[in-house]
Amino acid sequence: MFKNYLKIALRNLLRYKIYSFINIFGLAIGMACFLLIVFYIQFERSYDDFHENSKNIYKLVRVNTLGEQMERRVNTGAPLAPLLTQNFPGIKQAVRFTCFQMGLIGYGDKRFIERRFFFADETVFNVFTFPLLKGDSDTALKEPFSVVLTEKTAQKYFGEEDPLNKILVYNFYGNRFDFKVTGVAASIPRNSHLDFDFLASYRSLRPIVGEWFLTKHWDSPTHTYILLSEGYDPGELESQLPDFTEKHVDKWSFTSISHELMPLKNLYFQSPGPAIGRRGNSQFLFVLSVISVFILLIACINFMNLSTSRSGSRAKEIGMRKVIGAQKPQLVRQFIGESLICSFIALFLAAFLVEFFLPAFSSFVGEELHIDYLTDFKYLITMLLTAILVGIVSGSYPALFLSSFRPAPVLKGEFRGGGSAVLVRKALVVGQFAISIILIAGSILIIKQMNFVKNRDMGFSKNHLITMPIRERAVRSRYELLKDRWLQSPDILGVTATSMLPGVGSPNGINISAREVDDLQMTIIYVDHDYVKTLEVPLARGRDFSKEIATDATEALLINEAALERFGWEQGLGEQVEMYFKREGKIDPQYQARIIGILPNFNFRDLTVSMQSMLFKIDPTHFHHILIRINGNRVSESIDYVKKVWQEFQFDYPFEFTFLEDEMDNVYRRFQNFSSITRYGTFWAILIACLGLFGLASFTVEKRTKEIGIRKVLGASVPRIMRLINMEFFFLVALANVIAWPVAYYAMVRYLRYFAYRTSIGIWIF
Amino acid sequence: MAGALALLVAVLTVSYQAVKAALADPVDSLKYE
Repeated sequence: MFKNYLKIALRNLLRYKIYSFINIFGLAIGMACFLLIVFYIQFERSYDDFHENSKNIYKLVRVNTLGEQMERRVNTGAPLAPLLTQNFPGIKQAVRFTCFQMGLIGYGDKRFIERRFFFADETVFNVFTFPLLKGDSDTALKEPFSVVLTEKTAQKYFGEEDPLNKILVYNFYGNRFDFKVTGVAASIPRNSHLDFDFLASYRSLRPIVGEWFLTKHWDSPTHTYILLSEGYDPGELESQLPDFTEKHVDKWSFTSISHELMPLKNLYFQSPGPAIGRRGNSQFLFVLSVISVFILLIACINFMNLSTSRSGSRAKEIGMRKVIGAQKPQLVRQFIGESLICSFIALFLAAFLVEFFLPAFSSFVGEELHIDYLTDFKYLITMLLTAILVGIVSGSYPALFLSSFRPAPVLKGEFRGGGSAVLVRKALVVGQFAISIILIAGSILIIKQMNFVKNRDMGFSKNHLITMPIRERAVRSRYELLKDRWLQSPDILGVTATSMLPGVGSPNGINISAREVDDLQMTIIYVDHDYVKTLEVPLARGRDFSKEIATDATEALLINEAALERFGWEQGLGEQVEMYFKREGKIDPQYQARIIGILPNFNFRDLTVSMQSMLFKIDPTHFHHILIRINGNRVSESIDYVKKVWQEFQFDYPFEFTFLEDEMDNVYRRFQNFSSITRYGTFWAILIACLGLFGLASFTVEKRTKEIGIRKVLGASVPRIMRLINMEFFFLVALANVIAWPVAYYAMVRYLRYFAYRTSIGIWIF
Repeated sequence: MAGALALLVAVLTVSYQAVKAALADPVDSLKYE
């Protein structure tokens, strides 16, 4: 019996080649898209699960409250970890990572700027699973000035030499420290959110940054992880943390500080800023999964529609089977079996498509995805389940429909493809196109928002600005000399330095009091005299900093219009303000300054964040970036000149630069990913939907061949007949529009919420 | 625009079949009777 079913199924597939091709190829594309995305999601969800203790590792999140504002940050003070282990016996071990995101490492002639140089407690190898290939993990990070490298880093510095006991020179702001290599760690798995190149012993920090770093509870670039004893309830620990924090941790200028725990497995997606290492994007994954389900759904609908529309050709077979004694459940099984055959053939094709598109897809999502079917059954199981699910979902409706034919009329030749099936078919086509339209509209909006953000006037001229980080003290102390030397060339239109790049970073806050206002917190940006000129920000009122007026260097302040509004002043010019930090409950005065000018609200942060009140003050000790405006017609010559001057000064750090525009674009990269993924998704969805429509149209035409013939004989023209055929589908797609628009509108509004500056949802998009 | 695009693509797809049907010689399709 089974053999007969199989024979009939294959015979039918081969007899109707176009239908079979549309069915199977459509399903294969749908499955391939779906599988690629599912594999990617599986990978993303596997982050950090390779640590043996992964279930019991938590990260401390610090909650800073200032008035009404609450901010969660993963930065903690360095003394937190030892305090926690002393006070809570349930904490088995704690480990700190401190990373300054810069450092120049040298071995012989080789010198590289390293951003992933972490200082870590010796407990790191007990808490996390980072096996050492060379060296002893119990002692590797015990001594001050010992360092563990990853395999790749060791290769980079030492080539084939044995790295153990070699000395690396670590240059921190111009001071040199010798580190002895005590271990080589195996390559860090791709699905680890921590991605260090170097782990240096924590005991080395004291001589490098000083005692205060280790004893003050400031917002330092230190990340604290704890390992709880098996069975210890993290909730209980968390409930004790507020009291503990109140007792031990200094509040600085915040209203209050508290700590929370975040499980290791949530860190990749939910870690607050400023994250260490890799950070996932759950919204991106959500959009991906929605698109993948949509595509698969469209492919399944094709399958259903083509099966029921072809029912006429199977009607006699079903009638015969019933007359001979087949029961309905048997027929249902037969047809589901047939659709399973199709879906497995499709799976086979999909596997090839997945293999083919995997490299492109990997580089697209920025991960290296490998599918190893033989060692990792996860993939095989996912594929089999997908095929079975697709087979059953798309086979069940046709099976029920076909098996319910009444044998007598069918065999008498009175069969007319059932009215209910036609209605369902039409509804499904409407559904397919509604989905496609939602995707098209969504893609258009995403592209529109992207362009809006990119072309929006930031309030300063961002073209031809290059930036260089200041990584050593010598650069800061010789900045004025460097600047004068640069400005000797006519290609260099302006040079300035600042604490924070405009349009990229999040600046520091400072407390302020002034006439009638007390204790406001605003953002302070440290700049030099030529900041406004170099960025080409048009001054709203007042005057710019001036070299002629000596007091400007210490007592002058520029503010933006948002700040003026927060002060509540009409004019603001000439007002005296005091700026201070609060430390350990005491006021630590910083500057007294007079407002000399008002700047318009130019965008300091990226456009997902709304305007902040900002102060600009001259203070060379806080410079972290140099900004140079170069001649746009002689870009490469200008950069060569900038580089030449840098090298004349013989700094420790090699010359490195970026265009400010590129830095700003980086901030928008994840939105760009959204944009391209929806575009590709939309393309495939429409392709599959059209494949189905093509099949249905060919079925309609076939059924109405005679009707068309008679119409033609009676004098109908070709355009008339085309209109006749087209009308049937035109109405369905039009109806799909009406359904899709509100849904698309809702999705658009949701998407735009991520931005502080939004493009309009124009009617034309629909 | 999204709606128009979808309609356009749908009409183009269906038109292929429609043109084929409309251009077919009625003699062929009615011959049987």
